[in-house]
Order: sequence, then C-alpha cells, then structure tokens
Amino acid sequence: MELTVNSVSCTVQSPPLTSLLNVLREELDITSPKAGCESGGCGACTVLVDGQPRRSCLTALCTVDGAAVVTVEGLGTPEDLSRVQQAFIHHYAAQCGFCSDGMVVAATAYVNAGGSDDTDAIREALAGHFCRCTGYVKILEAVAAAARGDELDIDSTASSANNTYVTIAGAES
Amino acid sequence: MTSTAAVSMPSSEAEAVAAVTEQPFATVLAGGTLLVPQHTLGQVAVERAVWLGRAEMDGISRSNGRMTVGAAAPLAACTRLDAPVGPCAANIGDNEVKAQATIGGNICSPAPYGDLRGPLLALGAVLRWADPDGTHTGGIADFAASGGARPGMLLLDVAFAVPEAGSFVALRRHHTQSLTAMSVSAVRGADGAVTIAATGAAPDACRLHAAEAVLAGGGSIADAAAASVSDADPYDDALASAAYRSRVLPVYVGRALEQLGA
Amino acid sequence: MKVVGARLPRYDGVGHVTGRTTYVDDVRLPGMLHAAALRSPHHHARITHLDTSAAEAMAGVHAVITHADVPLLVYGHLSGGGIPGDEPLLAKDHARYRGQPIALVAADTVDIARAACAAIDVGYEELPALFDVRLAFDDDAPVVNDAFGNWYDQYEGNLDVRQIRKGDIEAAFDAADLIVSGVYRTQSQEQVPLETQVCVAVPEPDGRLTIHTCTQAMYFSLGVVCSHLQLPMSQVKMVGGTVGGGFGGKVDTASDTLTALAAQKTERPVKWRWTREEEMLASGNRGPWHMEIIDAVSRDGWILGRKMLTIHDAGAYGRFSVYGVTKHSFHHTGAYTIPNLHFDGYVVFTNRIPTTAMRGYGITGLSTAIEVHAERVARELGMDPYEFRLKNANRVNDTSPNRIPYEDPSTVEVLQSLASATGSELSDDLRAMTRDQRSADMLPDHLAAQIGSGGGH
Repeated sequence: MELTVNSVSCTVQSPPLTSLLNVLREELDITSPKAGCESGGCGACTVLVDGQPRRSCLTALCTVDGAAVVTVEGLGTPEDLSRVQQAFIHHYAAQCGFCSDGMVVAATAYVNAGGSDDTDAIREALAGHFCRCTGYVKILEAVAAAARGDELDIDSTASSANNTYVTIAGAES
Repeated sequence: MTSTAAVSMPSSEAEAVAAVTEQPFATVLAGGTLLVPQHTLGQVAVERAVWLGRAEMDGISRSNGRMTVGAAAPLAACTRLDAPVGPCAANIGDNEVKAQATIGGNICSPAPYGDLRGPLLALGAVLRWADPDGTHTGGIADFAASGGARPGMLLLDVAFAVPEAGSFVALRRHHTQSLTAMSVSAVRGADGAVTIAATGAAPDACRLHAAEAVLAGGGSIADAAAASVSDADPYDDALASAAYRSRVLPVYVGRALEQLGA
Repeated sequence: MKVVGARLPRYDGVGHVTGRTTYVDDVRLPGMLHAAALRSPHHHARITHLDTSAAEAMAGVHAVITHADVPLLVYGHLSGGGIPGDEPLLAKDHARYRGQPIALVAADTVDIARAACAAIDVGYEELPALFDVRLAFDDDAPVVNDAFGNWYDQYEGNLDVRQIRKGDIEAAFDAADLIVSGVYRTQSQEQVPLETQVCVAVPEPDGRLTIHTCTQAMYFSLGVVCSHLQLPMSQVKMVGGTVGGGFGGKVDTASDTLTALAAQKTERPVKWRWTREEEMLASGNRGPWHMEIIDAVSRDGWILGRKMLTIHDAGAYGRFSVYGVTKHSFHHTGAYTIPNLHFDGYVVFTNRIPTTAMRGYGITGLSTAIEVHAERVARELGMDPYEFRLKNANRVNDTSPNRIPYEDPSTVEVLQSLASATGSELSDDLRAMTRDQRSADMLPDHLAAQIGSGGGH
C-alpha cells in the first residue's frame, strides 16, 4: 500500500489491518505519534489524514491507502517552526511533551480550518486530547494565540494571564 | 505487526453483503474505532475482514417524511440530524472519533456502548440487515432477537419517520471520553403520541411503556417520570450502581419530557 | 539576576513541539525483542503449577522468564534503607494481587510474546481475598504478606505501628470543653501518565547492561535492579531522559528489572511497554487511607490535643508505604499547631495493587481529612472557620509532631490570601496577623512548652 507521509511517498508492507500508528512507529520509524492508550482515548497518536485530524491508533492501514499523512514532524522543523509550534513554546504549553505531538497536530487542524481564539471552541476542538501536566490553561492560551496570529517569540515564554510572574525572590516581571 | 488478515473492499452494498455472508464469515470493518484497537492488542482474532468504506453505505436521505441512514454513515454526519438522534450522536466520543465511528457500528456495539439504540428505539426505527438467509427488516428489539451483531450478519441501514419533536438527555461526566451511564430519548410522533426509551436503565436499551401510558392518559410529567421505574431493570457496573440508576431515571425522564414540551 | 524573574523558554520546548524528543518507547535498536507479561487473573491464589514449555517452543519466542530465573527473587523498594524485602519480582507460590506478574516472555514481536503468555500452563487455587483494611486485624482474615503478615511490624525494629507521642494527651482531653471526632477515608487513584511504564534493556558487548528507563527515581531503580539481578552497580548503566509523565507512579521500579533480566537471558535488546490496561490495573497507584481523628478543643477555639489512628492500605507489598506512613505521621496536624498528640499509624496489606507515591505521598488525603475536620470543629464551636484556623495556624518556632521547629510556615499568609480571594471578611486582628513567633494572646500557656529554640532542621 502507498502512503505519502510528510510529503514523502512510501510503499508500506504492514498487513492491511495494522493500525496507522504501528505503521508509522514500527515500520516507518516515525515516532512522534505516541502509543498512549492505543484505544482512541488519549489523543497522543493524532495525525492529519488528508488534512483532517485522525486517531492513528483507530485507523486501519487499508482505510488510508493512498492518503497524505502529516505528523508533527511534517508541520515544522526546529529551524522553521510552524505558528502553532511557536505558540506552544512561547506559551509554555508543552510540559512533559508526551501529549504535545497529538495536541499540536489537532491544534493545527483547528487553526487551519479558521478556528478562532474562543476558549470554548478550542476546548471542543481539543476535547479528545489528554494532558496530565499542564492543566490545559497554557495549551488554550497557545492555541488562541496561534488562532489570533499573535506575534510570537520563542526565545521567551509569555507572561501569564494577569501579566505577572511572582517568583520565589518576590521579583515580578 | 498483527494478524495478516486479508481485507476486501466492496464497492457496493450488494458486494458487501456477498463478502460478509459467505463462509467462512468475515469480520466487518466500518469506522474501526472498536475493532482496530482490539485487533492491535490481540483481543480479537480476525481471519478475513470486509471494509465498508467504499461500499457507498454512508448515505443519509429524507423522503416522504422518513429518514434513512446508511449503516456506514459516520457519527459526525449523524450529529446534524434532529433530536433525539443528533444530540445522542454528538454525545459520543470526541471529534476525531465521531469522524470515524459509524451509526451501524454503534448499534452493533454491546453496552455500555451503543448509545444510539436508545433514540432509535424511541423513534420506532426500522433496521435492515442481511445474513446468509437473506435480507431482513425489523425494529431494534427484533434485531436483538435475531441475534444482533454476529458473524455473517451485515447491518445495512436504519430508517425512521421524522418526528414532530424529539429530545435527548444523558447522564455522564463532562469529558468527551466518558461513557454515558444513562440516557433518555423522547419522541412525539405525527399522531401526538409520545414514546420514551432509555439506555442504562436496564442491561440494554428499553422502552418506558408505563411512563408513556401516563402521558397518554393525560397525566403529568412528574407522574410519568415516577412511573418510569416500573420498566427499569437497574444493574450495577463501573459507571453507576443499580440504586443510583433507579434514583436518577425519573429525573432524566422528567428532563427529557420537559425538553420535549410534553 | 539573569534567571529569577526572567521568562526563559524551556530548554526542551523545540524538541517537544517538533516530535524530536526521544522517550523510551522511541528507542530503536537492531535485533530488539519485545516483551509481554503473564499476570495473575486472581486477586489472591495459590499457584499450583507453572509449565512454560509450550510457550518456549513457539516460533519467535526467545525467553520465558519465571521466578526460577531471578537471582534474588524477594526484595523491597526500601531494602536499601533497612526495611526487609517482601516482594517477589515474579510470583512463585502465591499471587497476592490481580495483575501480579508471573512470567515475562521476550519474542520477535509483541504479538508473539502475548500469544506465548497465553500458552503458559498455570494452575491456580483461588484463595479468599482481603480488600478492606478494617478487616485485616481479624483472627480469620486471609494472610496477605509473607514477610509481615497483614501489617508491617518492624518500626524501630519491633513496633507494629508508627507512633507519635507528644505532650500530655490525657491532660489535654481532661481540659477540653469539646471533643470532636471524625472518620475520613480516601480512595485509591491511578496517576495516569500518558506514557505507560516502559523500558528498553540492552546487553553490551563487555557484559554490562544499559537500561533506558522511564523512572522518576534513577538511583532507587539502579539499586532495585542490581539487587534482584545480584550485579554490582558498576555493571548497570541507567539512561534516563524525558519521562512522559509520572506523578509518582514512576517512582516504583515497575519494568526495568524484568526487562533487564530478559536482555541478559536472550543477549538481545528487549523492550517492554505496558498497555494502558496494564498501567491502569497493575501499576502502583495512590493508596487509600483510613483516618480517624479525635480533637480536644477549648471553648475559645484552641486545639488542645489530637488522637489519631491511620490505617494505610499498602496493597499486597510494602514498596514505599512504610516511608509514606512515617511522612504522614509527621504531618498529621497539617498546617496547625497542636501541642498534645497521640498518633498510631499502621501499614496494612490487602490483595490490591501495591500502592505508591502520587503528588504529596501520604499527605494529600490527610490534608482532606484535616481540613474537613477543622471545618467541623469550627462549626461545632460556632466560630468563624478562618478565625479558628488562623488562631491555630503554624507560626515560627511552633513545633511539628516530630518536634521540628517551623522556620518559615506560610499558613497565616495562605489563609489571608484565601480569604481575600474568596471575598471573606477578616477582622483587623486577623488581617494583621503574621507568621512571627507567638506572643501575647496567641501564646496561651498550653502552647508555651512546645515552642522550639529555632535553628530548624
């Protein structure tokens, strides 16, 4: 079967019922989609299939023969980060990082579809994505910033909502 | 990785029926949201599978006041239908799951999945399915009595009269991945009669005849709600205890009927 | 200052958002095998026989590891600290909890490994299981733990209970105007890291082992692995990296030891990644706590004394629970100063998953009990809960249950901020209160003797 993964054409040998997650991770060694639950429950394996976010662990290879698949590696590189990737760095939205691959992919689909910075709309779009570290606030801020087209600076993190960080030394910034 | 099962990809309903009903029986792959993870984790053995994605079984059409939904229609498309089906479909899974999961797969999934059996029971929906003996039609209960989801059976579509009004309420946690512990669907037909069905009140979806009778006799919503427990067969599972189910059923029946404007 | 107060980017941020960060499951090595575990389907059972020959004969299976392969079968996570070992790496004669590993298979693929697990012939004789800590002390209770029985009995060498005794508890209760008691029970909780337990172990040409580990506790794990395998620490290289979430659950050495043993036995790299179901059902979780509190209180709102009984559900084996209950005992007055104490804490074993750390080990459930109890005492006194809390709040040089003077207690400021944030009015006196050492009205006679001399820990 044929797949175009991150703009590269691939002929894959895995059996047709193999999950797209296992095709990507185990046959093609593309490790950004994570096997968090392998049951569609956590969102960490999310990739774009023909532009739409899909759970790669729920997707049998035979159902995406000929499709264009994009993982987070295909969205941007360290030298050329996408807007959503920049926003995740600037807004401190990745903590342990294990959910970030799927989260960035789903957020990219949301922004590409013209999604707004409305918090409820972002929550709805990312509803299937678990993050156990951040409490989601930073993720919502990052996606909103990307949706608005905020100017982003990956060399510093964003200030928090009330615009102050109180540090242990009592200094504010 | 996993089994090397062959997958056939029929390009019409007739081809799909032939592929599913021939011996040895094949496993049906629709959206894959249940089958693929079970297969990956080695929980099901699949010798041969039939994928419905190219069989043109995903249509949704309306004619003469009846809605017909192909078994392979994704839940995302079903969310656009009127209550009770639309809100019930919207209540299942997150966006990515809804884009992939199908109405047929949902109907064929065992409890605590299979939420749509509730609304479809309330609507008096007619299912059409094929097996080695031919094509059959019947309601949700008839389908279950015929053996329900089983090897060699292919659910084809589901049809129902568009109701005058419908409502759907569900008991579950806020998160999209949470399973629904209980739901109540209410429908007012063209003749004005109200039908009510629940999931989570009994081991499978059930009609609430006693509550319907109270309404038909001119009784109040409160009286109908109170009567609903007589049709329940509450049970314990990880989502809710039998006692809790008994306690909340009238509350949800009341809410569904208020939403309906009964 | 260049760092404090600066908005620095995460050093690993770019890697996290571009898929470049390498987690243990992303480690790829030529010839790597995959592992799967046979786990007990029973909460409590005697293992009557175990025959792995059919699994070993399967094509693609490279090793089937059982208790007989483990150089030191029984060890404990705190054995390095002198606590006797109680947990077999693989179940031998008994399975003490559902999900306990009995055998590990290393095979060409994870599917083959799972199929081989299913082919292992194992016989069980089910035994009555103990789930309720309150029944553990009964004469006819099922016996859970081979080393300790149903509760840990070697505190300070020979005590079966973690005790705190401070001040004169009987005098405090004699002087009380009011006695308020309550029982509080918290449930178990899985940490649910998005990355399940996972390990890649690699046999090196020089005979050493390299272990790619997801542990939160590198040197604990090194000690546990080397003890079970009876290797000097110089023979094992632990490679940490980015942990995909732990929240306490990866303090346990859950997968490293068996994966290392499989790599030794097969002389091939081996990966063992738990499924989500295994993570939920068999990895250490936050344990349940049973807490009984009885406070002696004066009419004007002082807590004169506290009697407390804690029964901690350790699950089937001790792991870190002995430490957890000790930490719990040191904190059993919470943010409040109580001069007279009588605390008894038991580590009780049940046929449940061994419990472990999670975000405030031993403390989180305790805080719930203490704060709910404080609210109840204030209500019974007819006193404003903020006033009650602030009056008893820890101050500089008040002493903890284990007699450590507090150097920088923040309770006063936290309560004042909480009142302000929730729009609760405080009196001028309470608003002006500081953490400074007690004096005048805030230093009644009964609190004088407990004041420490400063200098801290």
